[in-house]
Amino acid sequence: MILNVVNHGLSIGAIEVKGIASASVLLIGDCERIGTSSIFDTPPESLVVGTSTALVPLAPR
Amino acid sequence: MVRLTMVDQVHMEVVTSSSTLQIGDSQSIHLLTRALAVQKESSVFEGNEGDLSPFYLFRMAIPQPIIHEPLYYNREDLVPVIKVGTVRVISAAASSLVHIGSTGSIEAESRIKHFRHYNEVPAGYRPRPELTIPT
Repeated sequence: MILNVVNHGLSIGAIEVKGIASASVLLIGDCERIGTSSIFDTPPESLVVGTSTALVPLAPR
Repeated sequence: MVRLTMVDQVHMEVVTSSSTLQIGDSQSIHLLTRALAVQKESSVFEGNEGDLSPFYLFRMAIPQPIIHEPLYYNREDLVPVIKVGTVRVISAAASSLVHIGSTGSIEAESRIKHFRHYNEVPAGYRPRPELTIPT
């Protein structure tokens, strides 16, 4: 693939962001390479019921 | 050559959990978070919780995109400046990055396992008939 990029003037008044989370990027500038990955897991097995203080009784060792 | 970044004002409230606010150029940035997020009905902790090793999620390989063809890249900076007036960010969390300036490579990874811990079975909760436990 041949990619030709011409950068003309770039001028921004204001950027407002509430939250940046879980391997996200807010970049003001140039970059060669970005690799971001994220895993978020909350399956039904992670619902724990009982007064035990053990964190994860269901988890296999 | 990379472009110059000019920002007049930056407002940031929170930077947590392996997140970074970088002002200025950089070469390489690597961010990694591994977390157990626990919501407990009663906040009782023994202090020995939080072993990441039983969970496959924290050691599994994350598939990466495969680039099949070579990339020929040309750039021309007619205006070599990026101008921004104000940047306002409330929070950056879990391996996230706010970067003002140019960089070479960014590598960010976040792995979060979330638990809900109730004292009694919550109202309306129906367990699944077949429960498979991931290893």
